[in-house]
Amino acid sequence: MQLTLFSQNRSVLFISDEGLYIYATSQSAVSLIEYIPWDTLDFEDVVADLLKKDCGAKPVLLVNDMTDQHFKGGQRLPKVGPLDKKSVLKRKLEVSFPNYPIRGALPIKGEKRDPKGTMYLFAAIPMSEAISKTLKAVSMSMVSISGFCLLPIESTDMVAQFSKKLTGATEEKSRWAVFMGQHKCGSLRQVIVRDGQLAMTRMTPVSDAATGPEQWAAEVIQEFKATISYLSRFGYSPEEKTDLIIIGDKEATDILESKINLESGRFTSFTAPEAASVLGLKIGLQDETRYADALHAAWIGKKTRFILPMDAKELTAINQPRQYAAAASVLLVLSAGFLGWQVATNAQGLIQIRQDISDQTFILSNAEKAYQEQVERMKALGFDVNLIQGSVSAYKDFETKQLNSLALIKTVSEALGDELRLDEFILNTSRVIRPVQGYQAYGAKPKKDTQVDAVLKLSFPTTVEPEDSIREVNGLTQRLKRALPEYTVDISRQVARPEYTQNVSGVAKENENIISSKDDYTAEIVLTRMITDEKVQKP
Amino acid sequence: MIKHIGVKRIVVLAILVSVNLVLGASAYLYFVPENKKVTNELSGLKSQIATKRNETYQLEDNYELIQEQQVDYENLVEAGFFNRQDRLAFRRRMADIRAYTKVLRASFDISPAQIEDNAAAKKAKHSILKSPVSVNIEAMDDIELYHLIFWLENGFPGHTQITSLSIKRDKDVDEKVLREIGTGNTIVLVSGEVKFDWRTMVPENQLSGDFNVFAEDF
Repeated sequence: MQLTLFSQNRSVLFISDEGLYIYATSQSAVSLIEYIPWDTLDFEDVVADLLKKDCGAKPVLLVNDMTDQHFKGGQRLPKVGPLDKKSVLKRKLEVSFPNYPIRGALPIKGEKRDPKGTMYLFAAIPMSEAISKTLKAVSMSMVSISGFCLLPIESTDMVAQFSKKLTGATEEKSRWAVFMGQHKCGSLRQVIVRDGQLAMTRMTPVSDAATGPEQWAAEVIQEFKATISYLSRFGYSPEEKTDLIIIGDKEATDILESKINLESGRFTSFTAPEAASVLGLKIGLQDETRYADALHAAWIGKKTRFILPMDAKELTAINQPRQYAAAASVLLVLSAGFLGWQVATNAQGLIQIRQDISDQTFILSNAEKAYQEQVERMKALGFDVNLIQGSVSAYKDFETKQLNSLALIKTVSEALGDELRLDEFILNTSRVIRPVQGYQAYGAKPKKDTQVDAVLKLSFPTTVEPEDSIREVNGLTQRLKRALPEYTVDISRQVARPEYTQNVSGVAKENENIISSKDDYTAEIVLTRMITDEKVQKP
Repeated sequence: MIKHIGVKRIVVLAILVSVNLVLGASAYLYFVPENKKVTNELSGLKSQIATKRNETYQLEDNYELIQEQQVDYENLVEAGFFNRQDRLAFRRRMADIRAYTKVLRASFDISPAQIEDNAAAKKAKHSILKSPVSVNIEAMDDIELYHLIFWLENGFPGHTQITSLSIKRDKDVDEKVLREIGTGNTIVLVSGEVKFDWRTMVPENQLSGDFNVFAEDF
């Protein structure tokens, strides 16, 4: 699987009117792999086979070089939010080209900021049999698709670059640039650029320069004149400085230069390798240097971002799953890298710690040995150190976990004072596991704490007003809190149960006490404390 | 979808997913927990070494400390910490305590002793015997009951530790009760229940019979 979607190593497929040109592009060369006419038997199988075997299953770039290309300039997209922009643009494209399913939109630069919206150039091509066949072949080959674009649009920046390179530092920059190059199919492709953007493109058949350079020059001049005639509709005037860039053999282009009449233009001609050199491209050795195909293939093939990528359902259906698969592969490779690093780090740590454990075990056995030697020495002096230390340690351990219950009773008794007395006192101690968070619990012995719960039950005579009893209970609670700061003191049951959470029923009538139940004259206070072993062991 | 992705890509994805699963599982289900475990083990070992060295230094340098501990040890011997929890002696001691504290009645129940897991005792080749005891008390005065609690905590050989305690006032002192007391009748005014664990330490080689090792580290 090719993960190098952004690589310059691509197969570039030129979809022309006559057939499919398959180019293999790399950083150092462009080579024509094969030309397959549309009427070739088992066209899809042949192309798929070529893409897989001869092209090395590299990602393919589909470049439309057909005559049937449709453009609509000056299309205004109303101001919409960024989230809606894509769908509005798509809808507008559908309305503009309802019968051409392969569409794209290019924002026109250089215009003043229009408050009504952005101006676009819309482009579309029909889903011809040639394109269907090509897509099917690409689908069968299982190679990734880098994009689908239009040759004249994607060559615009190449023409602009030519114009820039040919202009000297002190010279005035040409506003117009006309690029003319004959393709292997015989057609002359003209790309006319104004201010760096596509103004017009033409594709017309001309004779081959190899068979008659004079004839070729005459036809090219004729086409140029026709182009100039069209351009005048776009605001071109012959006085404006214009660059004319021609790709062809020297003999033919010399004839052309001698015959062409440019009022204020600059004529420049190159062979394809010369032109590539000017642009800083490497196209390698070419059999026929008069054709511009290899130059276009090299220029478009190296792009990572296209000026006007075309979109179509059929294309998305093939490409999207492959892009998702490629993205998933990249993510999985990264994830595997991270996890591998984690495993390696942890494994290294584990080996190191195990080595340390082995060392420390040895050290411990030595320490034990040294200790036992001391113990034996003490035994010789009349001390059984293990028994002395073991028994004292065990006893102290019990003592540290001991709750002084009588001291607690005494403190409670003092807090009660002379007026109050308890009906019942209940004390319970229990061992509870200390909660440990997360993975810290793993492998560690759970620690336990001692929980102390004490319940104090009091009752009041029915002759005492409930408010007075409540005051007494509250006072006792406060005294307990002061006397036993390490305890949580709560009233679990208050006299007359005044809390809004209680369910209370009774009778209100003449000579009837509002509190009739004896239970309502009782109160309960709960004391709670958690004793950690560490805390208890402190002096 | 699969038609457009192709078998080769699916196989590569499946391999990558498998590699991720294997690596993820080994990292998070084995290496990370195992690292934590061995790290704990290592720190435990280091702690043991430090303790052992400290004990060795103490033995080397603090002869006085051993002498002090010897005194504590002798006190424990004196206090019956090495007692084998003779049940007849227990009954006699309970009768003595009841008579001394003047509570009206103290019914008791002592369960069979269990062996409690204790590292310090094990080091001395001894075991901790633990007997859960429950005592129900009836008294005329709560002071008598507190006395009894005091002697339960301090009057037994070895170590006792109260685990639960309840005291209840059964009757109010009114004229009728006072009259009865005046006639010489004994009236239960306060009752209670005390539960405690009785612990002593005995040599391992002196234990007979089957014991359930009680692993609770109380």
